Amino acid sequence: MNHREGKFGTQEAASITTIAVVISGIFSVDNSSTYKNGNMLYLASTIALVLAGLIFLLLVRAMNKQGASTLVELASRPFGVLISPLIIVALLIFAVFPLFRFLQIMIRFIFVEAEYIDIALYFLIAMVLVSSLGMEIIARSARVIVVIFLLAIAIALVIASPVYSAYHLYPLFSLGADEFMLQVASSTLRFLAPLIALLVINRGAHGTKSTKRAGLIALISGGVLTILSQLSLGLTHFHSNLADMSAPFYRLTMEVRYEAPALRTDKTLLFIWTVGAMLVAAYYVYCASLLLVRTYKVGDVRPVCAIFSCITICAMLLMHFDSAMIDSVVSWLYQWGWVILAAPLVVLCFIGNVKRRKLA
Amino acid sequence: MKRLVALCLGLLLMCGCVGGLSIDQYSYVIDIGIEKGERLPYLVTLMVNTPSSQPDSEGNSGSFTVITAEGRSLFEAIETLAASQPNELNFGRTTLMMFSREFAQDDMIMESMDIALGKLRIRQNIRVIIAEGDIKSVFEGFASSSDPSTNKLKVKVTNSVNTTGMTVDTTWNLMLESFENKTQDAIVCFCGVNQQEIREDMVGGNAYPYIGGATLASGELKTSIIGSAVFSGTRMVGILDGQHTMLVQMATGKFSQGRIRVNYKDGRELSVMLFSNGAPKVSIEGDTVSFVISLVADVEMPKLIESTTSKELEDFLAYYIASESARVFTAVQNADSDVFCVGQQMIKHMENDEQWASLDFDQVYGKLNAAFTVIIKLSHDPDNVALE
Repeated sequence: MNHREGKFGTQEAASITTIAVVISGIFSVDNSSTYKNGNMLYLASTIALVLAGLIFLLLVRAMNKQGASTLVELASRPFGVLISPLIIVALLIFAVFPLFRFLQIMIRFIFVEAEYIDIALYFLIAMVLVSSLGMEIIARSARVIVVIFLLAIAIALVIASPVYSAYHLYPLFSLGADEFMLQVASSTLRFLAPLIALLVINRGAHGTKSTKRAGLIALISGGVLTILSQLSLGLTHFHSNLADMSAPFYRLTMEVRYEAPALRTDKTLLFIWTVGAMLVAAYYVYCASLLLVRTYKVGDVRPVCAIFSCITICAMLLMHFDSAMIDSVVSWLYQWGWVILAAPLVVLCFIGNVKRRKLA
Repeated sequence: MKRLVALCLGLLLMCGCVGGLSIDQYSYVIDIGIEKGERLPYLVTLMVNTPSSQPDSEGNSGSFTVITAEGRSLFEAIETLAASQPNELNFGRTTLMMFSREFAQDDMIMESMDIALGKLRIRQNIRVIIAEGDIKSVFEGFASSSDPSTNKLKVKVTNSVNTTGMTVDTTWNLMLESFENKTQDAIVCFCGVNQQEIREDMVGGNAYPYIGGATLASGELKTSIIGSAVFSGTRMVGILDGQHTMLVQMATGKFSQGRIRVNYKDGRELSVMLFSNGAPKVSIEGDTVSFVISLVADVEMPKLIESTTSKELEDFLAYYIASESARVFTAVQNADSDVFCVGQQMIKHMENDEQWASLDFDQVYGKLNAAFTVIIKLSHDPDNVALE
C-alpha cells in the first residue's frame, strides 16, 4: 500500500486547512450570480462559519462515537461505496473553482497574450508533483507559507482601505430570504470542504483530537479573514460592479496609487496567493485520491493523483470555453453544487450520531 | 523520482525568456491625453519616456517626448502612434489620463472608452485631469528641467489636495463609479496653460478665483493645476475655482486644511487658515439635506480690529462659510450635479435595489434644500486675543 499519508502535527494540519478555507472562501465565489441582486455575502458567510463549525463538530463526534479513524469508515458498505464518489466529486470541484479564478487573473492581468492552456500546464505539473508526493509534503509546505499567505491577504485589505466607503454596502438587506439562505448554504459548504478533506486525512494528523483542534483553528482564523475580505470588497465596490468583475479581490491590490511605496505589491501578492491556491488544489486532489484508493482498495495513490490532477485541469480549461451548455453546467455547479457535498454529510452525520453499529 | 522532479523543474524554468524584449526596447507612456480631433473624432496625445542606459545627473533616464495622433477610436489612434514609434509602447507606467474641457463638455468621455483599460494594462486607479486648451501644450507646460518625467508634479497634486484643498485628486475608478451609479457626480482636477487672464467659475463672486490656466502666475511650469471640473453624469457642466472646490471638499469629508479669503464686515480682507475638525455629518430629512461641518480656524489679521471678540469672529466665519457653501450647492444643483454626494446619503434610506433603481434621483435632488451648519473653533485662545 503506497498511500503516502505520512505523519504531521496539528500546526501543519491547521496550516493547510486555513489556507484552503481562505482560498475556497474568497476565490470560489461566482461573482456574477452572488452579487447580482445585492451584497450580503459577508453576512451569509458569518452565519455559514458558525454552521460549518457545528457540522464539523458533529462529524468529529460521530467519528469518535463509532471509533472511525477516517471519514468514510463512518459508513459501512454499501454506503461508503455510494458516499465516497460524491465527496470525491465535491473535493475536485473545490479544486477547480479557485484554480480557474487564478487562471483568469493570470490571463487578464499578467500574461495577456498567452492562451489558457499555456498557463494551465504549469498548474498541472505543480499539482501532479505535489499531490503525488503525499500529504506530509503538502502539510509541511503549507506550514512554511501559511504566515506569509495570511499576511498577503491582510496586506491587500490594508492597501485598499483608503477607498472603503460604507455607502457601497447599501441597500443593506437587499436580497430575498430564499436567495440569502442559498448563499448561507453554499458558503457553509465552501467552509466545510477543507474540513471534510481534513477528516479524510485524519490518520496522518494523529487522530480526531488533533484534527478537531486543527479544524477549529483553521475555521476561525481562515473564516474570519475570509469574512473581512468579503466585507472589504463590499466597502470598495457596489454589488453591481462586483457582479461584472472576474477578479475583484485582485483589483483591491490595484487601488494603490503610483506614487505610493506599495506600488508593485499586486504582482507579489498574486504570486503568494497562487502558490497557496496550487497547494490547496493539490490538497483537495490528494484527499479525493486517498478517498478513492481507500474505498476501492487501490494499492497506490500516485496514479490516482495524476489522473485527478488531469481531470481538474481539463475541467478548468472547459470552464473558459464559450459554450452555452458548459456555462449552464458551471452556473448550476456554482449555485447548487453544494448539494453534492451536503447529501453525503447529512448521511454521515445521521449514521455516525444516531445509528449504533460495530465496525468490522 | 528524483529524475522526474528534476525534469519537471527544468520544464518550469524554461519559460520567461522566449520572445522577451529588453527595457530599452520599450517606450513607456507616462500620460495620456484625449481631446477632439480636427479631421477625425479623437486626438490622442501621449507623453512618452524612452529609457536610456545612462541616467543624467538628476537620475532621470532617457528622453521624454510628446506624440499625437488622430483616430476614429481611442484604439485606432494608439495603434497609429504605435506604428510610428521605433519602440514598443508600454502602458504599464501610465499614471495620468487627461481629457480636454471641450471633450468632457460634449459628453465624449464614456464613448471614447471603447476598450477596457485592462487591454492596455493601464491601472484603473490612474489620476484623471480635465484640461483647458490643447493637451499637447498642457503636457509641454508640465515639463520642467528638474522634473522631466512629471513624477514630482503628480506628487505635488496629492500634496496640494491635502495642504490647500483647492483641487481634487480623482481616479478613473471614481469617475467610472460616478458615471455608472447615482450616488455622486464626479469632481475632477482642472488645469490649463496660464493665459494671464482671470476668468470666473460657475458660482462667481470671487475677485481673484484660482482656476487652472487663469492664474496670474509665471514660473517654470507653464501649466497651473488648481480648481476642479464638475460633472453631471458623464458630461462636464462647469468649473469651480480653488476656494469653491475647498468648500465642496469640506462638505464631503475630503478636506484636510486650506486657506480662504474672507471679506470681513468692515470691508477688510482676512486670510483664514482652516483645518478639519472631524468628518462632516450629513443627513436628509424630508426635502432638506443638512451638512454639519466642524473646522478649526487660524486667523491672520491685522492688529487692532476693534470691538471684535473671538465669539463674534467665530460666528462670522461660520456664517460666511455656510452661506458660501450654500451658494456653491445652489450653483451645482442648478447644473444637475451632485458633487456634494447627496446620493450617498439617499441610498442609505433605500430598502432594496429596486427602490433605488426606480428612484428619479435628478428630480428628487433638484427639489432638495441644503442647510449648512458650520462650527468654527478659533485655534487661539480666549476673547480679545483676536485684537492683538
